[in-house]
Amino acid sequence: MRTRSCTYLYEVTGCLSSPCRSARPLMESGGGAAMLLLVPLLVCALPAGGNKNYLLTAPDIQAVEIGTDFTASCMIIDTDEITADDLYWNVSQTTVPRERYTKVNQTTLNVTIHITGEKLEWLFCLCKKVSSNVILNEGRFCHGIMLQKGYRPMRPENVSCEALQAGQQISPTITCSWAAAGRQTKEVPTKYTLMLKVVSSETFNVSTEGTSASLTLNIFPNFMELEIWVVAHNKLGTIESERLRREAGFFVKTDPPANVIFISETSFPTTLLLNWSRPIKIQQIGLIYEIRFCSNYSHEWTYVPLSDMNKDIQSFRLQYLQPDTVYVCQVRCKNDKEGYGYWSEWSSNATERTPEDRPKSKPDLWKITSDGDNAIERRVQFICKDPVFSNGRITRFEMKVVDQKDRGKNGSWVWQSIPVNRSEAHGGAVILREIRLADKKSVKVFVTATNSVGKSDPAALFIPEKAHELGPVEDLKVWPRGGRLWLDWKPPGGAAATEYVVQWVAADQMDWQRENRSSRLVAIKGDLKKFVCYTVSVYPIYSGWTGKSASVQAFLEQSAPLEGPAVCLSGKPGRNEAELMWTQIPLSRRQGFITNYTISYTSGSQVHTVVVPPNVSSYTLTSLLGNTKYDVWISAATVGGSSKGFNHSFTTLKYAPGEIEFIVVGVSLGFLFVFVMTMLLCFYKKDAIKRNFWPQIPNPGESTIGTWSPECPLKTETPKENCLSGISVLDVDVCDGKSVFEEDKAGLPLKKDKYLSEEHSSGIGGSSCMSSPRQSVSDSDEGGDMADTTASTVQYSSVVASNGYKGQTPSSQPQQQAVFSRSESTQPLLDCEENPDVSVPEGSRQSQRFLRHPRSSSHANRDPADIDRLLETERREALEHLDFCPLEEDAEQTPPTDEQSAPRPASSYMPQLGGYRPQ
Amino acid sequence: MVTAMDSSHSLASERSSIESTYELTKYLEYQLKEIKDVYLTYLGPPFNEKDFSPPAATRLELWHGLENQARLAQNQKAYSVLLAAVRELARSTLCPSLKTSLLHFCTGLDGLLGSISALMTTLGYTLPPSSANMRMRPTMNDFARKVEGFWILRELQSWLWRSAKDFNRLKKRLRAH
Repeated sequence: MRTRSCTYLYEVTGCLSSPCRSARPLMESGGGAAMLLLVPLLVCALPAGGNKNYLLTAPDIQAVEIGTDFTASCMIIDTDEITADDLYWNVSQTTVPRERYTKVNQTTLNVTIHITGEKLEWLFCLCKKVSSNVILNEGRFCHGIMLQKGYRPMRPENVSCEALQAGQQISPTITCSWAAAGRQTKEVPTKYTLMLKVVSSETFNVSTEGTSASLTLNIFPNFMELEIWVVAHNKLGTIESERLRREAGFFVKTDPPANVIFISETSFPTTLLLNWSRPIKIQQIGLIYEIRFCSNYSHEWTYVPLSDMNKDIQSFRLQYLQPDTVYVCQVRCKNDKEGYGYWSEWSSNATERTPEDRPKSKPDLWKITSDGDNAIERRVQFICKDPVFSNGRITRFEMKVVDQKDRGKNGSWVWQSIPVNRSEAHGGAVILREIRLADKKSVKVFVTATNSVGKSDPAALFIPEKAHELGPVEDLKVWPRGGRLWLDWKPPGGAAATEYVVQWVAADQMDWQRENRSSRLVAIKGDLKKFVCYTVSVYPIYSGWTGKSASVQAFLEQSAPLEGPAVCLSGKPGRNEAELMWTQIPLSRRQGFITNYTISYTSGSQVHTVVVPPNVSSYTLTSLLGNTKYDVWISAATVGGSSKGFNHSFTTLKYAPGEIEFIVVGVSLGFLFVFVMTMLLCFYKKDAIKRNFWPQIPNPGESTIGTWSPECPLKTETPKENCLSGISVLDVDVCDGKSVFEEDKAGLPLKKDKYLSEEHSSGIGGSSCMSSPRQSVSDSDEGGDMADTTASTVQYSSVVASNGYKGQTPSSQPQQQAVFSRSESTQPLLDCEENPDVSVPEGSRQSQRFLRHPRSSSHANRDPADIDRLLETERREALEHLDFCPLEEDAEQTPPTDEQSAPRPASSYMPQLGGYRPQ
Repeated sequence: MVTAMDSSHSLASERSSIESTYELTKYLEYQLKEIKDVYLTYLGPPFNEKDFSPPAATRLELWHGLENQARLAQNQKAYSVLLAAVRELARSTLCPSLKTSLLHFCTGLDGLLGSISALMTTLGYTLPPSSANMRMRPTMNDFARKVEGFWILRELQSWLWRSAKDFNRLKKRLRAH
């Protein structure tokens, strides 16, 4: 802190309105607050300068301590113009309240302020403007003190020093560090001085602003006592740390031991000898050592107790080690005096393998049983793991299988040597041998493991007869927790198991572990993979005899299946339903237990889903729309998620199966029904139909007219004759039928009817003649036999009515008969005339007709004009028919049938034609 | 009670003081052995010859007959003289490394003096008055100076050897108390 005249302060504070006339630092003396000291100083100061200051502040101090009260004085010098009452104090432009002032005398005013905050401030003594002189010389009536605030230094703590080894000596440089305490400000920083005294000799020191420092001596003062301490000091004070008085060796940290090596000796497979050399000469410092070692597997250090180590040794034998195991070892050292010095760093590694020894434990023998080729035997595969304490590399196993029922024979008692090819080893286990064991046989198997030094004790496994296997464990549960699979079971109900074998099998992995009889909650120790299905089995062992197993499937962790089920249709889709079936996801891609399947199907916009249980592999979708394309897929879900299979598309049918058949059959049946009904109607109502469609023509045969002209035996021609004579004869005999068949068999009944109606029509002669126009219409109609015949019948009627032939010989009738359908006109008559001989063979048959014809030929009489007209018409018609007839006749003539009448008309036609032409 | 505690405390302090003084003496003896070989080689023949062995100056039976205090006082006196002599030896040595070694040895010797003084204080003995520094006569010729150097080291070695024994005996005697 400094006192200043206001000239200096003007710019800094701006507290004055005009520049001070004169200013001068008055004092640089120490910071004592005693007012008495000020007086002589002031006296000295006065004559010194011309520009006098009328005010002077005190004390002049370096710094003020934060949190304390500070008292300052202001004195009036060389003027009596003002008194202490005119003075006042400002701190950072704020006037200090008057109650804090103390008026010492007329010329001196004290002020006491409390120091707060770390910011630098000025404390000014000023004068009120009591006169013009004061106003003009404002700078001279002003004086101030700079308040540099800070904290007293605190005692440094935890001083510690270290001297490192340098080459073969301890370095003469000693490095110390300590913990700073308390606070410091920018204006009042704390500095430290490290002090080191070689007792009853030199003292060294070094200063620093930090909390560590190094001191370099001439030589490291070995075996001499040192005193070390730290002094903290600032403007407000000085304080010392506790003095550390120790022999120099207390601070030494040497290099680690050098040349650390292991020596293994074949005859001591459980020990290793460790050698090293000391890093520094024993005259300089005595050392103790610490050894730590670990096997290659554990990576956890084992420390040799310090109590087992002598001072200043350079070798140590590690004992109780595992044979054939790599060990790593490190050594470090420190001053052998208790509590003295620091441990060196650890030495570099010494690594060595202990020699091999005979296997000290039995191999782990187990079996895999599977079904044999036939029902009465088992296949048992024996597998084996190296003994836990193999004490070397197992080179072969020796195996002996003793058949319990074959004790007398020596063959099965022989030890069989099985060399171990490590490349064959599967997960640490070696497959020894597979045997076929009949269900009713039991065997005892013994296996020893051999390394380069010796043979282990034999491990035994007894396999009982299948029927005698003892019961499995109960309530086997398996669950994952903390990245492991845990098992719990209850012991078997029957005999007490002596041991358990926990076996786990996945697709490409098989392993087992043994648990003692009291084990209940067990974790599988093997390296299990996630998302793989393991079949975990627990086999109880009864004094070496294996029992039945209990098995459970489990996953270490489940995830969504790697693929979805492949779905397809079972058969063809229906109209409204489709049966889906899907394949199980392969076990290796399932990654968890399937909890359900979700069937999703959509025909476009809306997706429908159906959830089915995991044991279902087919499902029938119903309520589908017909003739619609559906996409369907199936998701399989596990606890870990679900996976969707590929889409499958199908289109539903437009019609359900059988629907078309149903419609066809229905329509057919309907048609049939209608047809039958029509037929029935026709059958039952034939009279009415006949009445409506074929009006009743009275049977001329039944007419009394028949009897009335019996001499007219003509058949078809007779009507003409009969017409002449007024009698028409209608032949409806078999021959008629024949000829009708030749023309159109279907027309037969109708024809008959027509003939009948002809017979009747004769009775209504006039009306028959009126029907002749219809005949022409019928003629134009091809194949219109009905019409034809109808016409002919009508024609007949009319012919009969109009024809004037009479007395025609009956012998010609058969010919006429054959061609009546074409020409029911007068042609038969001509025919008969031209071919009288033809009619002879037919005579007998014709004669029957003749018997009838006469009856029908005796029909109506017609007047000559009508007859002529009819004849003309007939002739024309006959011509028309004759144009076609020969062809038809020829066709019909070719097959020689028993029907005698067929050829005959043909032959009879030609003459008929010839017969006509002249007409 | 307080007296007992004080006595046990001072006993432990004495023991550690004697122990460290003994160790320092042994260390200086070792150091001196190393320096001596180098120094004798530096001096050259006949000092570096194996059979060069002038008779010892001290009579053991007289020495052993002395009281602890007297012996310590003698040690103190001897080492202060010897320290001054070795310093002079170092100053006059031309070989720099040997000079450094000698100076470092002086530091140790100084420490030993301090140790003995501290031990005497601890044991409650009065310190002997500091003796005047031994000054070599400038008129000495080169060989005479070599002989003196040889004798200084020889004397120092025997003193250190004897002191180590003394301190060991002192330690044993304290233990027996």
